[in-house]
Amino acid sequence: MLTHTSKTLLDGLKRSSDDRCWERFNGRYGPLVLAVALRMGLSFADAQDAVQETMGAFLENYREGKYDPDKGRLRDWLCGITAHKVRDIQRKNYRQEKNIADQTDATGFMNQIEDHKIQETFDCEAEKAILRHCLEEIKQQVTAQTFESFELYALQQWPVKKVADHLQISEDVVYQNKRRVLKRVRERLPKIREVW
Amino acid sequence: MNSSCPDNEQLEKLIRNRLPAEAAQSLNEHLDGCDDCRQKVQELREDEELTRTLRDAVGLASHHLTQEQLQRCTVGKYEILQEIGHGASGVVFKARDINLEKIVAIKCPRNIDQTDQTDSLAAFVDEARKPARINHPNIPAIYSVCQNDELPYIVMEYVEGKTIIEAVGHLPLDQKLESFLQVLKATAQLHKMNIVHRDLKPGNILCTSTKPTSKPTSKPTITIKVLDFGIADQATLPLNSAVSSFSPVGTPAYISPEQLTGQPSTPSMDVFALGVILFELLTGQQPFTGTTVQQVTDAITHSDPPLPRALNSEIPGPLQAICLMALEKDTKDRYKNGQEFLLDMQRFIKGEPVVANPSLLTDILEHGVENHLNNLSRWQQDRLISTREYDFLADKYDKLRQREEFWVLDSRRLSFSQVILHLGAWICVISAFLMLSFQWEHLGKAARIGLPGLIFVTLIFTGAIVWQRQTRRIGIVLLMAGGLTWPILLATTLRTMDWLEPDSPVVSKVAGEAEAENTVSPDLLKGFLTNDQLLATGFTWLLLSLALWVGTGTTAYSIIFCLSFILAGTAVFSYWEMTVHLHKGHFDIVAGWYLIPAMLLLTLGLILEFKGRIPWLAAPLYIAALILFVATFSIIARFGPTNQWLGLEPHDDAVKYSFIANGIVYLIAGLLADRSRRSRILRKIATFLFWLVPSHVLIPLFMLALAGKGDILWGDWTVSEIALSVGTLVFILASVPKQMKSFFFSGIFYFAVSIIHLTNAHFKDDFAWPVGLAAGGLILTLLAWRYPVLFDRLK
Repeated sequence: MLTHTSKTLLDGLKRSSDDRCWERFNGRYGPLVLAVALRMGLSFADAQDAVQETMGAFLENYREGKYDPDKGRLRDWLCGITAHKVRDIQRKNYRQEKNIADQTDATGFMNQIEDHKIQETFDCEAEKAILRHCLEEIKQQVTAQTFESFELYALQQWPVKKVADHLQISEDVVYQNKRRVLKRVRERLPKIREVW
Repeated sequence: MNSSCPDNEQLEKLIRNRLPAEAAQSLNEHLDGCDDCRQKVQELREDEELTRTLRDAVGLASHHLTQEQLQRCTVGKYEILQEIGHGASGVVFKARDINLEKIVAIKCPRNIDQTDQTDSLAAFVDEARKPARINHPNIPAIYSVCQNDELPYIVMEYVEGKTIIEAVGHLPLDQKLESFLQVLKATAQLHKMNIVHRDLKPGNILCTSTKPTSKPTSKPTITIKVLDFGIADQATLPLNSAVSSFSPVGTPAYISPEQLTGQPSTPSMDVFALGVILFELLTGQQPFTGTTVQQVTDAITHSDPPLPRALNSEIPGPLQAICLMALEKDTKDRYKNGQEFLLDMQRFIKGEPVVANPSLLTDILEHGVENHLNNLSRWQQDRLISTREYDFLADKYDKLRQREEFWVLDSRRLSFSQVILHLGAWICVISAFLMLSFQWEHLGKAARIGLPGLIFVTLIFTGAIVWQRQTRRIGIVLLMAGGLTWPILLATTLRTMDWLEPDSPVVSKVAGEAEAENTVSPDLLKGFLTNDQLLATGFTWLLLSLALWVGTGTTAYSIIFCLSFILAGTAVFSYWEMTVHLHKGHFDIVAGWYLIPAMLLLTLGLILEFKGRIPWLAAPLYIAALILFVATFSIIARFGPTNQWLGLEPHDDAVKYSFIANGIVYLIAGLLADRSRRSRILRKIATFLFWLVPSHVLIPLFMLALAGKGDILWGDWTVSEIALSVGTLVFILASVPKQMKSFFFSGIFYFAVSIIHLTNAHFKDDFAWPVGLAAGGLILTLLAWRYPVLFDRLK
């Protein structure tokens, strides 16, 4: 289902009129690019600029058919564009700070950031985004009480008694809810990873 | 599973480390014998692992919680309004006290479940309670340390404002210092209560400005608040994570070298961070920079910071010295705590001499220049001098100040690697001298003059180029080696060409009238140079070394100045046949030739330093006076009335041992005088005493070695010969900890003397000896140049 949805999503991106597809794509990858840009040291404002520029460049190139699935995953391609845009901003900031007119100096400065490190960060952030996406999906599939019980006990680490009192359920149910949600997470994760 | 099996709750608590130790042990014993429970625990552990991964993923998103989500949260009687910061140890929220309608900040611990929870919570509460006792205007008040559902949180004063760099970085120097002084006061208070901040950085130092209501036109008052103290975690340095290795500079820029190596927290770690902040305030940039965390930490560990005055010429010299002292890599050289730092900064602000001044020379120069510039400025305003004259003179003074910067750099950095670098180059020079003096007599005139000439020109030329290219550490050594080669070149040339030969050779003339063992002229010169040749060599060398010293403005050249002075002095004494007078006990002549000139030179130096127009000229005069004093005291000790009362003959061994005892007394007295860091006079006396020590220890050792005293210890080497060689090396290395140039200079001078003596005694016809020495010296130089860390580890 997800693969199909993703295919629909990617096809939709090629149509300039399909704003809904673009919003969904932006919603999925925008926070990822933002997190990577922040982790690479940009300020929040600069990181938001980096997201705008990355997504814009991605869309333009994608519509021009420059993405070749045989050459690698879409995520890796997006990672390359992100790295390029973040470096552009860092170079610009560096030049402004140091008042360097000579471009080679600034290039030398930025080239010291190794590509594989950026890729590692991107992958790390993508994995977190996948997990969050997975939880969001499961939240839609289980009852509100089951998910809230899981969220309070497993994620926010409330004491089991407090969760049980808060939701007016037994403590055993709190444990069951946790196991139920985690079982679903284990089932869904591999499939989500495939399409990211 | 049977009825005694633990329930879900207990198993969950076990894997989350929330069971008391006894209960956990009992449960683990049960698990050993219950397959069902073990299986269940295994599944729970896997669940917990996955949950932790999910928590991490969601945790990142929690920084972007919506306002709506946040507003649903309440902690005790506080309503959370927004997250205002997070670090490794905790998250800080802006919150509202529901009862009092007051805005507060709430800090909660993070990731406490990942370790032993009980200990972590106790540590968090304990760390929070310590600063809660502080009542200081520059430290936010802690209202309470509360506990909510097992998790503690700290409620404190909410501070809103810009970081110190953003708020005062652009203001005039006095306002910057006024703000920084508040930071120092807060830190001093923390240190007084045995609290180490551990995470001082601009982000933790906020400025709030308030405008006095009574005077609407007056300037706003800046109040500094030092935040987040005592609860910072050592784990704030994510050095091993994939992300951190390319993250641009953040907190690591403020971490001290010892903190990087994981040493226990001390107040001097905070001093280092304050030094970085001060540097940044003064210059607008950080002292240790790099594009990656690794580069920054490498710079902190190994590189010297740039001189603040090189980046901002308006920074006064003493303030630069304070900043550099706070940034010292070795904690022993740094202010011990915030109180010491604060006191020195207050001294600077009051215009008093500061403890951090790296050398007296700097102080002298700086004061003189400051006074003269102030006078010049007044004269220009009064139209006593023209603008052009003012500019010309101010430019000259600026050049003097620039020299002072090299002095600062030079005098502060006598490291093991630097000392070995000099020693290696010095050994090369000695070996060259040995080769020329003893081994190459059969060479032709051109070769005998050409070889040292080539060495001299190469060293000076290369040294000048390296100096110009700013690699001054190496340039200093090459120029120095060149300067040391000059007397070899000139003496060889004069002797080879038979120039200046009206006299008979110096020592033979003296020795003709006196017992050889009672002369002070070195035996090595016997039959080698005439008095006139020695005079010419000594005085041209004196001029060259003075030119190098003054021309480069580097105190390192005072070593060759001293050596040249000794040679010139020896030439003069020999020329006037002083050794004969000494032997005959003509102390009036000794006083006339040594003591009176020494007193005159010292007086002139003091006048020039404190009253004169060119105080820096006092330094060479002091050195000259010192050499004469040393000579006087040494001669009096050897030939003087004390020994006559004791019934000792001048050449008795007991006299030599009394010299060594004198040296030890001077050392102790010097160390005591040096303890008083606030008195310039006492420090000056300590410096003088330190100059006396090496000669009083090493000259007797040399005399004992010359007389062949002591048992044969190794091969045909006597104890005294080995003691002399080891003693010189001990002085050279002992110069590093307290930066005593007197030990270093004297040490390497007597090192040369010991090598020459060993050559005379054991290797006179052995060509391999000077070649081996040259190779050893070269290897030492290269190692110290390329791998300084090898030697600096000695510390």
